[in-house]
Amino acid sequence: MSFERFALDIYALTFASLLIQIVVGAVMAVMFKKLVHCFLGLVMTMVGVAGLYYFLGSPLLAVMQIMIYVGAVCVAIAFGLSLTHKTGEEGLQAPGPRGIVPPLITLAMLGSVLLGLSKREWVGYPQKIDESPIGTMLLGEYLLPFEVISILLTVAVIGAISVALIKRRR
Amino acid sequence: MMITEISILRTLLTIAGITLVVGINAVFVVWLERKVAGHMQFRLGPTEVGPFGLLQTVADGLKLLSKQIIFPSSADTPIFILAPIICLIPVFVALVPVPFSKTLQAHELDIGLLLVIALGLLNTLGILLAGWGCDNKYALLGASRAVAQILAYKIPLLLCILPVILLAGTFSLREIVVAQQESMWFAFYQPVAFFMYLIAITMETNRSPFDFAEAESELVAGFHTEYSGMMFSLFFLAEYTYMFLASAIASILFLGGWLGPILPGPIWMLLKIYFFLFLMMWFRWTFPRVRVDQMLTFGWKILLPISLLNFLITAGVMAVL
Repeated sequence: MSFERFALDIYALTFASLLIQIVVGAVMAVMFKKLVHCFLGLVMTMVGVAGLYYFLGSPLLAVMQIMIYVGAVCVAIAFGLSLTHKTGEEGLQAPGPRGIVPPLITLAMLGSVLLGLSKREWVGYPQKIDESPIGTMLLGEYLLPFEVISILLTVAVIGAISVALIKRRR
Repeated sequence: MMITEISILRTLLTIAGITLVVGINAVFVVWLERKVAGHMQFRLGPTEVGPFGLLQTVADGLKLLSKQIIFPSSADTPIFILAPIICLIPVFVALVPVPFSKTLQAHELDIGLLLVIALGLLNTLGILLAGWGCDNKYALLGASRAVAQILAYKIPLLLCILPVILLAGTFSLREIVVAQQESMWFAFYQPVAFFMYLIAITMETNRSPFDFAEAESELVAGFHTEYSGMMFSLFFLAEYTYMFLASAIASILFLGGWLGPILPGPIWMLLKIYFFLFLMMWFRWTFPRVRVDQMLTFGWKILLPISLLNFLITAGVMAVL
Protein backbone atom coordinates (compact mmCIF):
# COMPACT_ATOMS: atom_id res chain seq x y z
CA MET A 1 0.00 0.00 0.00
CA SER A 2 1.33 3.43 -0.82
CA PHE A 3 0.32 4.98 2.49
CA GLU A 4 2.33 2.46 4.47
CA ARG A 5 5.31 3.24 2.28
CA PHE A 6 4.78 6.97 2.98
CA ALA A 7 4.48 6.38 6.73
CA LEU A 8 7.65 4.30 6.74
CA ASP A 9 9.44 7.09 4.87
CA ILE A 10 8.38 9.68 7.44
CA TYR A 11 9.49 7.32 10.19
CA ALA A 12 12.91 6.76 8.62
CA LEU A 13 13.38 10.47 7.90
CA THR A 14 12.62 11.45 11.51
CA PHE A 15 14.97 8.78 12.78
CA ALA A 16 17.73 9.90 10.41
CA SER A 17 17.38 13.55 11.39
CA LEU A 18 17.64 12.58 15.06
CA LEU A 19 20.84 10.63 14.35
CA ILE A 20 22.29 13.56 12.40
CA GLN A 21 21.40 15.91 15.27
CA ILE A 22 23.18 13.66 17.79
CA VAL A 23 26.35 13.25 15.73
CA VAL A 24 26.54 16.91 14.65
CA GLY A 25 25.97 18.02 18.23
CA ALA A 26 28.70 15.73 19.52
CA VAL A 27 31.17 16.97 16.88
CA MET A 28 30.22 20.60 17.70
CA ALA A 29 30.80 19.99 21.40
CA VAL A 30 34.31 18.73 20.75
CA MET A 31 35.53 20.80 17.81
CA PHE A 32 34.15 24.32 18.21
CA LYS A 33 36.28 27.08 19.65
CA LYS A 34 33.73 29.17 21.52
CA LEU A 35 32.51 27.67 24.79
CA VAL A 36 28.88 28.59 24.12
CA HIS A 37 28.90 26.83 20.77
CA CYS A 38 30.29 23.70 22.42
CA PHE A 39 27.57 24.00 25.05
CA LEU A 40 24.91 24.29 22.35
CA GLY A 41 26.29 21.15 20.71
CA LEU A 42 26.10 19.30 24.02
CA VAL A 43 22.44 20.34 24.47
CA MET A 44 21.67 19.24 20.90
CA THR A 45 23.14 15.80 21.55
CA MET A 46 21.29 15.39 24.86
CA VAL A 47 17.94 16.35 23.32
CA GLY A 48 18.64 14.07 20.36
CA VAL A 49 19.33 11.12 22.65
CA ALA A 50 16.04 11.86 24.41
CA GLY A 51 14.31 11.73 21.03
CA LEU A 52 16.00 8.38 20.37
CA TYR A 53 14.61 6.99 23.64
CA TYR A 54 11.13 8.12 22.63
CA PHE A 55 11.58 6.49 19.25
CA LEU A 56 12.63 3.22 20.86
CA GLY A 57 9.38 3.14 22.81
CA SER A 58 10.26 4.51 26.22
CA PRO A 59 8.78 8.01 26.81
CA LEU A 60 9.72 7.83 30.52
CA LEU A 61 13.43 7.51 29.75
CA ALA A 62 13.13 10.31 27.18
CA VAL A 63 11.57 12.70 29.70
CA MET A 64 14.10 11.70 32.35
CA GLN A 65 16.94 12.31 29.88
CA ILE A 66 15.66 15.85 29.23
CA MET A 67 15.02 16.52 32.92
CA ILE A 68 18.35 15.25 34.27
CA TYR A 69 20.83 15.88 31.47
CA VAL A 70 19.39 18.99 29.82
CA GLY A 71 17.51 20.46 32.78
CA ALA A 72 19.98 19.77 35.56
CA VAL A 73 23.44 19.04 34.13
CA CYS A 74 23.32 21.56 31.27
CA VAL A 75 21.79 24.29 33.45
CA ALA A 76 24.57 23.71 35.99
CA ILE A 77 27.14 24.01 33.18
CA ALA A 78 25.31 27.13 31.98
CA PHE A 79 25.59 28.62 35.46
CA GLY A 80 29.34 28.04 35.34
CA LEU A 81 29.49 29.57 31.85
CA SER A 82 27.61 32.68 32.92
CA LEU A 83 30.18 33.31 35.67
CA THR A 84 33.12 33.52 33.27
CA HIS A 85 33.82 36.17 30.66
CA LYS A 86 36.25 33.96 28.75
CA THR A 87 34.86 32.70 25.48
CA GLY A 88 37.54 30.01 25.09
CA GLU A 89 39.61 31.22 22.14
CA GLU A 90 42.43 28.73 22.64
CA GLY A 91 40.68 25.98 20.72
CA LEU A 92 42.19 22.70 19.63
CA GLN A 93 45.88 21.96 19.74
CA ALA A 94 47.59 20.05 16.95
CA PRO A 95 47.57 16.33 17.82
CA GLY A 96 50.94 14.65 18.43
CA PRO A 97 51.89 11.12 17.38
CA ARG A 98 49.61 9.80 20.11
CA GLY A 99 46.66 11.47 18.35
CA ILE A 100 46.08 8.29 16.36
CA VAL A 101 44.95 6.32 19.42
CA PRO A 102 41.42 7.80 19.97
CA PRO A 103 40.27 7.30 16.34
CA LEU A 104 41.53 3.71 16.47
CA ILE A 105 39.63 2.99 19.69
CA THR A 106 36.50 4.62 18.26
CA LEU A 107 36.68 2.57 15.07
CA ALA A 108 37.26 -0.64 17.02
CA MET A 109 34.23 0.04 19.25
CA LEU A 110 32.04 0.98 16.29
CA GLY A 111 33.12 -2.16 14.45
CA SER A 112 32.40 -4.46 17.36
CA VAL A 113 28.97 -2.89 17.93
CA LEU A 114 28.06 -3.27 14.25
CA LEU A 115 29.36 -6.85 14.25
CA GLY A 116 27.27 -7.65 17.32
CA LEU A 117 24.16 -6.05 15.81
CA SER A 118 24.50 -7.75 12.42
CA LYS A 119 23.36 -11.07 13.90
CA ARG A 120 20.19 -9.57 15.37
CA GLU A 121 16.80 -9.61 13.73
CA TRP A 122 15.59 -6.24 12.37
CA VAL A 123 12.19 -5.00 13.56
CA GLY A 124 10.15 -2.43 11.63
CA TYR A 125 8.52 -0.56 14.50
CA PRO A 126 9.65 -0.70 18.13
CA GLN A 127 6.94 -1.57 20.63
CA LYS A 128 6.16 0.72 23.54
CA ILE A 129 7.92 -0.75 26.55
CA ASP A 130 5.95 -1.32 29.75
CA GLU A 131 7.89 0.84 32.18
CA SER A 132 6.09 -0.11 35.39
CA PRO A 133 8.52 -3.00 36.19
CA ILE A 134 11.24 -0.34 36.66
CA GLY A 135 9.34 1.13 39.61
CA THR A 136 8.41 -2.27 41.02
CA MET A 137 12.00 -3.48 40.84
CA LEU A 138 13.33 -0.27 42.45
CA LEU A 139 11.01 -0.89 45.42
CA GLY A 140 11.65 -4.63 45.57
CA GLU A 141 14.81 -6.19 44.25
CA TYR A 142 16.94 -3.05 44.31
CA LEU A 143 15.46 -1.43 47.42
CA LEU A 144 18.76 -0.94 49.27
CA PRO A 145 20.66 0.96 46.53
CA PHE A 146 17.52 3.01 45.86
CA GLU A 147 17.22 3.95 49.55
CA VAL A 148 20.93 4.79 49.76
CA ILE A 149 20.62 7.13 46.75
CA SER A 150 17.50 8.80 48.15
CA ILE A 151 19.19 9.32 51.53
CA LEU A 152 22.20 10.80 49.71
CA LEU A 153 19.93 13.24 47.84
CA THR A 154 18.04 14.23 51.00
CA VAL A 155 21.37 14.84 52.75
CA ALA A 156 22.44 17.01 49.80
CA VAL A 157 19.25 19.11 50.04
CA ILE A 158 19.58 19.51 53.82
CA GLY A 159 23.27 20.34 53.34
CA ALA A 160 22.36 23.06 50.83
CA ILE A 161 19.85 24.52 53.32
CA SER A 162 22.38 24.50 56.17
CA VAL A 163 25.12 26.04 53.99
CA ALA A 164 22.71 28.81 53.04
CA LEU A 165 21.42 29.36 56.58
CA ILE A 166 24.70 29.43 58.50
CA LYS A 167 26.37 32.82 58.31
CA ARG A 168 29.79 32.83 56.76
CA ARG A 169 32.66 34.18 58.84
CA ARG A 170 34.85 36.83 57.34
CA MET B 1 4.05 3.27 17.54
CA MET B 2 2.41 2.58 14.16
CA ILE B 3 1.77 5.56 11.91
CA THR B 4 -1.76 5.58 10.53
CA GLU B 5 -3.94 8.09 8.70
CA ILE B 6 -5.65 8.98 11.97
CA SER B 7 -2.43 9.59 13.87
CA ILE B 8 -1.13 11.95 11.14
CA LEU B 9 -4.44 13.82 11.08
CA ARG B 10 -4.40 14.03 14.86
CA THR B 11 -0.87 15.44 14.87
CA LEU B 12 -1.78 18.13 12.33
CA LEU B 13 -4.92 18.98 14.31
CA THR B 14 -2.88 19.21 17.53
CA ILE B 15 -0.36 21.60 15.97
CA ALA B 16 -3.16 23.78 14.55
CA GLY B 17 -5.06 23.79 17.86
CA ILE B 18 -2.04 24.67 19.99
CA THR B 19 -1.00 27.42 17.57
CA LEU B 20 -4.51 28.85 17.85
CA VAL B 21 -4.48 28.70 21.67
CA VAL B 22 -0.99 30.27 21.85
CA GLY B 23 -1.87 33.09 19.45
CA ILE B 24 -5.27 34.00 20.88
CA ASN B 25 -3.97 33.70 24.45
CA ALA B 26 -1.07 36.07 23.74
CA VAL B 27 -3.33 38.67 22.10
CA PHE B 28 -5.84 38.46 24.95
CA VAL B 29 -3.32 38.41 27.81
CA VAL B 30 -1.37 41.43 26.53
CA TRP B 31 -4.66 43.33 26.33
CA LEU B 32 -5.67 42.09 29.80
CA GLU B 33 -2.27 43.05 31.23
CA ARG B 34 -2.59 46.61 29.94
CA LYS B 35 -6.19 46.90 31.12
CA VAL B 36 -5.38 45.53 34.60
CA ALA B 37 -2.34 47.80 34.87
CA GLY B 38 -4.45 50.77 33.77
CA HIS B 39 -7.27 50.20 36.23
CA MET B 40 -4.85 49.53 39.11
CA GLN B 41 -3.28 52.93 38.45
CA PHE B 42 -6.65 54.74 37.97
CA ARG B 43 -6.21 54.88 34.20
CA LEU B 44 -8.34 53.34 31.50
CA GLY B 45 -5.74 51.37 29.56
CA PRO B 46 -6.19 50.91 25.79
CA THR B 47 -9.59 52.13 24.54
CA GLU B 48 -9.13 53.32 20.95
CA VAL B 49 -8.75 50.26 18.69
CA GLY B 50 -11.87 48.07 18.60
CA PRO B 51 -14.44 47.64 21.40
CA PHE B 52 -12.76 48.21 24.82
CA GLY B 53 -9.44 48.41 22.93
CA LEU B 54 -9.59 44.65 22.29
CA LEU B 55 -7.87 44.94 18.91
CA GLN B 56 -4.98 47.02 20.29
CA THR B 57 -2.70 43.96 20.51
CA VAL B 58 -3.52 42.94 16.93
CA ALA B 59 -2.47 46.41 15.77
CA ASP B 60 0.72 46.17 17.87
CA GLY B 61 1.45 42.74 16.40
CA LEU B 62 1.11 44.07 12.84
CA LYS B 63 3.43 46.95 13.74
CA LEU B 64 6.03 44.54 15.17
CA LEU B 65 5.79 42.33 12.07
CA SER B 66 6.64 45.25 9.80
CA LYS B 67 9.59 46.43 11.89
CA GLN B 68 13.18 45.85 10.86
CA ILE B 69 15.16 43.25 12.80
CA ILE B 70 18.52 44.73 13.73
CA PHE B 71 21.49 42.40 14.16
CA PRO B 72 24.27 43.83 16.35
CA SER B 73 27.56 43.67 14.43
CA SER B 74 29.43 41.94 17.27
CA ALA B 75 26.61 39.47 17.95
CA ASP B 76 26.97 35.74 17.52
CA THR B 77 24.42 35.51 14.70
CA PRO B 78 23.40 31.81 14.81
CA ILE B 79 22.88 31.91 18.59
CA PHE B 80 21.17 35.31 18.29
CA ILE B 81 18.61 33.81 15.89
CA LEU B 82 18.23 30.48 17.72
CA ALA B 83 17.61 31.90 21.20
CA PRO B 84 13.98 33.13 20.81
CA ILE B 85 13.08 29.90 19.00
CA ILE B 86 14.56 27.77 21.81
CA CYS B 87 12.52 29.86 24.25
CA LEU B 88 9.23 29.30 22.42
CA ILE B 89 9.29 25.67 21.23
CA PRO B 90 9.43 23.88 24.65
CA VAL B 91 6.38 25.74 26.00
CA PHE B 92 4.60 25.02 22.74
CA VAL B 93 5.27 21.28 23.08
CA ALA B 94 4.49 21.27 26.79
CA LEU B 95 0.85 22.22 26.03
CA VAL B 96 0.33 18.80 24.40
CA PRO B 97 -0.52 16.74 27.55
CA VAL B 98 -2.66 19.49 29.18
CA PRO B 99 -6.31 18.38 29.43
CA PHE B 100 -9.04 21.02 29.01
CA SER B 101 -11.82 18.57 29.86
CA LYS B 102 -12.22 14.84 30.30
CA THR B 103 -12.18 14.34 26.53
CA LEU B 104 -10.55 17.53 25.19
CA GLN B 105 -6.84 16.75 25.30
CA ALA B 106 -4.24 16.61 22.54
CA HIS B 107 -2.44 13.52 23.76
CA GLU B 108 -2.87 11.58 27.00
CA LEU B 109 0.52 10.71 28.50
CA ASP B 110 0.88 8.79 31.74
CA ILE B 111 3.93 10.96 32.47
CA GLY B 112 2.37 14.27 31.38
CA LEU B 113 3.40 16.22 34.48
CA LEU B 114 7.02 15.06 34.17
CA LEU B 115 7.08 16.17 30.53
CA VAL B 116 5.82 19.65 31.44
CA ILE B 117 8.41 20.01 34.22
CA ALA B 118 11.25 18.80 31.97
CA LEU B 119 10.34 21.14 29.10
CA GLY B 120 9.91 24.04 31.51
CA LEU B 121 13.63 23.80 32.23
CA LEU B 122 14.55 24.44 28.59
CA ASN B 123 13.13 27.97 28.68
CA THR B 124 16.07 29.18 30.76
CA LEU B 125 18.55 27.83 28.22
CA GLY B 126 16.92 30.08 25.61
CA ILE B 127 17.28 33.09 27.91
CA LEU B 128 20.94 32.24 28.60
CA LEU B 129 21.73 31.91 24.88
CA ALA B 130 19.94 35.20 24.18
CA GLY B 131 22.01 36.96 26.82
CA TRP B 132 25.23 35.44 25.59
CA GLY B 133 24.60 35.73 21.87
CA CYS B 134 24.15 39.48 21.54
CA ASP B 135 27.41 40.55 23.23
CA ASN B 136 25.88 43.13 25.53
CA LYS B 137 26.75 43.45 29.21
CA TYR B 138 23.17 44.12 30.34
CA ALA B 139 21.92 41.12 28.41
CA LEU B 140 24.59 38.87 29.90
CA LEU B 141 23.83 40.12 33.42
CA GLY B 142 20.12 39.41 32.88
CA ALA B 143 20.88 35.92 31.58
CA SER B 144 23.18 35.01 34.46
CA ARG B 145 20.51 36.21 36.89
CA ALA B 146 17.94 34.00 35.15
CA VAL B 147 20.17 30.94 35.58
CA ALA B 148 20.82 31.72 39.25
CA GLN B 149 17.06 32.13 39.68
CA ILE B 150 16.19 28.76 38.13
CA LEU B 151 18.53 27.02 40.59
CA ALA B 152 16.83 28.80 43.49
CA TYR B 153 13.19 28.07 42.65
CA LYS B 154 13.15 24.78 40.74
CA ILE B 155 13.84 22.49 43.71
CA PRO B 156 11.11 24.08 45.90
CA LEU B 157 8.75 23.98 42.90
CA LEU B 158 9.29 20.23 42.50
CA LEU B 159 8.94 19.71 46.25
CA CYS B 160 5.56 21.51 46.10
CA ILE B 161 4.37 19.24 43.28
CA LEU B 162 5.46 15.99 44.97
CA PRO B 163 2.78 16.02 47.76
CA VAL B 164 0.08 16.36 45.08
CA ILE B 165 1.54 13.36 43.22
CA LEU B 166 1.54 11.43 46.50
CA LEU B 167 -2.15 12.30 47.03
CA ALA B 168 -3.20 11.49 43.46
CA GLY B 169 -0.87 8.54 42.96
CA THR B 170 -0.21 9.35 39.29
CA PHE B 171 1.82 11.59 36.95
CA SER B 172 -0.98 11.81 34.38
CA LEU B 173 -2.55 15.29 34.37
CA ARG B 174 -5.97 13.86 33.55
CA GLU B 175 -5.82 11.28 36.33
CA ILE B 176 -4.81 14.00 38.83
CA VAL B 177 -8.02 15.90 38.06
CA VAL B 178 -10.09 12.70 38.18
CA ALA B 179 -8.58 11.97 41.62
CA GLN B 180 -9.93 15.34 42.84
CA GLN B 181 -13.42 14.46 41.63
CA GLU B 182 -13.89 11.94 44.42
CA SER B 183 -12.33 14.03 47.21
CA MET B 184 -11.87 17.78 47.59
CA TRP B 185 -9.61 20.02 45.53
CA PHE B 186 -5.99 19.46 46.52
CA ALA B 187 -5.63 23.16 47.44
CA PHE B 188 -7.61 22.34 50.62
CA TYR B 189 -5.38 19.37 51.51
CA GLN B 190 -2.16 21.18 50.61
CA PRO B 191 -2.61 24.91 51.37
CA VAL B 192 1.11 25.38 52.08
CA ALA B 193 2.18 23.70 48.85
CA PHE B 194 -0.44 25.71 46.94
CA PHE B 195 0.83 29.01 48.33
CA MET B 196 4.49 28.10 47.73
CA TYR B 197 3.64 26.95 44.20
CA LEU B 198 2.04 30.32 43.45
CA ILE B 199 5.26 32.08 44.51
CA ALA B 200 7.40 29.59 42.59
CA ILE B 201 5.49 30.00 39.30
CA THR B 202 5.80 33.78 39.60
CA MET B 203 9.56 33.19 39.79
CA GLU B 204 9.45 30.58 37.05
CA THR B 205 7.74 32.83 34.51
CA ASN B 206 10.11 35.74 35.27
CA ARG B 207 7.29 37.96 36.43
CA SER B 208 7.62 40.94 38.73
CA PRO B 209 8.45 41.02 41.70
CA PHE B 210 10.98 38.41 40.49
CA ASP B 211 11.69 39.70 36.96
CA PHE B 212 15.46 39.97 37.34
CA ALA B 213 16.21 38.69 33.87
CA GLU B 214 14.81 41.88 32.33
CA ALA B 215 14.56 44.36 35.26
CA GLU B 216 13.88 47.49 33.15
CA SER B 217 15.09 50.00 35.75
CA GLU B 218 18.44 48.23 36.27
CA LEU B 219 19.37 46.44 33.03
CA VAL B 220 17.69 48.46 30.22
CA ALA B 221 15.67 45.40 29.10
CA GLY B 222 17.85 42.54 30.35
CA PHE B 223 18.33 39.53 28.12
CA HIS B 224 16.32 40.92 25.19
CA THR B 225 17.97 44.37 25.13
CA GLU B 226 19.31 43.90 21.59
CA TYR B 227 16.23 42.25 20.08
CA SER B 228 13.81 44.14 17.88
CA GLY B 229 10.75 43.53 15.74
CA MET B 230 9.31 40.04 15.54
CA MET B 231 12.24 38.39 17.36
CA PHE B 232 11.51 40.58 20.37
CA SER B 233 7.86 39.63 20.26
CA LEU B 234 8.77 35.92 20.08
CA PHE B 235 10.19 36.29 23.59
CA PHE B 236 6.92 37.82 24.72
CA LEU B 237 4.92 35.09 22.99
CA ALA B 238 7.06 32.56 24.90
CA GLU B 239 6.59 34.38 28.21
CA TYR B 240 2.82 34.69 27.91
CA THR B 241 2.45 31.10 26.74
CA TYR B 242 4.59 30.00 29.67
CA MET B 243 2.29 31.95 32.02
CA PHE B 244 -0.70 30.22 30.44
CA LEU B 245 0.95 26.82 30.84
CA ALA B 246 1.97 27.43 34.47
CA SER B 247 -1.55 28.61 35.30
CA ALA B 248 -3.05 25.57 33.60
CA ILE B 249 -0.81 23.25 35.62
CA ALA B 250 -1.63 25.16 38.82
CA SER B 251 -5.38 24.81 38.24
CA ILE B 252 -5.00 21.10 37.39
CA LEU B 253 -2.84 20.34 40.44
CA PHE B 254 -4.66 22.40 43.05
CA LEU B 255 -8.06 23.67 41.84
CA GLY B 256 -9.49 20.58 40.18
CA GLY B 257 -8.88 21.47 36.52
CA TRP B 258 -12.12 21.30 34.53
CA LEU B 259 -14.27 20.30 37.54
CA GLY B 260 -17.07 22.69 38.49
CA PRO B 261 -20.86 22.96 38.61
CA ILE B 262 -23.28 23.97 35.80
CA LEU B 263 -20.82 25.31 33.20
CA PRO B 264 -19.07 22.87 30.81
CA GLY B 265 -15.53 21.69 31.62
CA PRO B 266 -13.38 23.71 29.21
CA ILE B 267 -15.01 26.96 30.38
CA TRP B 268 -14.21 26.16 34.03
CA MET B 269 -10.66 25.33 33.01
CA LEU B 270 -10.23 28.64 31.16
CA LEU B 271 -11.82 30.57 34.06
CA LYS B 272 -9.34 29.03 36.51
CA ILE B 273 -6.39 29.66 34.16
CA TYR B 274 -7.29 33.32 33.75
CA PHE B 275 -7.86 33.63 37.49
CA PHE B 276 -4.22 32.63 38.01
CA LEU B 277 -3.08 34.95 35.20
CA PHE B 278 -5.00 37.80 36.85
CA LEU B 279 -3.31 36.97 40.18
CA MET B 280 0.11 37.18 38.53
CA MET B 281 -0.76 40.57 37.01
CA TRP B 282 -2.00 41.73 40.39
CA PHE B 283 1.37 40.76 41.91
CA ARG B 284 3.21 42.60 39.16
CA TRP B 285 1.41 45.91 39.51
CA THR B 286 1.30 46.01 43.32
CA PHE B 287 4.66 44.60 44.52
CA PRO B 288 7.97 46.40 43.94
CA ARG B 289 10.83 44.30 42.57
CA VAL B 290 12.98 42.69 45.30
CA ARG B 291 16.77 42.68 45.10
CA VAL B 292 18.65 39.75 43.55
CA ASP B 293 20.29 38.66 46.80
CA GLN B 294 16.90 38.89 48.57
CA MET B 295 15.40 36.58 45.93
CA LEU B 296 18.24 34.06 46.31
CA THR B 297 17.98 34.23 50.12
CA PHE B 298 14.22 33.75 49.88
CA GLY B 299 14.52 30.79 47.53
CA TRP B 300 17.21 28.90 49.42
CA LYS B 301 16.44 29.80 53.04
CA ILE B 302 12.64 30.04 53.14
CA LEU B 303 11.02 28.30 50.16
CA LEU B 304 13.28 25.24 50.17
CA PRO B 305 13.11 24.32 53.90
CA ILE B 306 9.36 24.91 54.16
CA SER B 307 8.56 22.92 51.02
CA LEU B 308 10.85 20.07 52.10
CA LEU B 309 9.21 20.01 55.54
CA ASN B 310 5.75 20.10 53.96
CA PHE B 311 6.64 17.18 51.69
CA LEU B 312 8.11 15.12 54.56
CA ILE B 313 5.05 15.77 56.76
CA THR B 314 2.67 14.81 53.92
CA ALA B 315 4.61 11.62 53.25
CA GLY B 316 4.65 10.79 56.98
CA VAL B 317 0.92 11.40 57.42
CA MET B 318 0.10 9.34 54.34
CA ALA B 319 2.30 6.49 55.58
CA VAL B 320 0.52 6.47 58.96
CA LEU B 321 -3.06 6.69 57.59
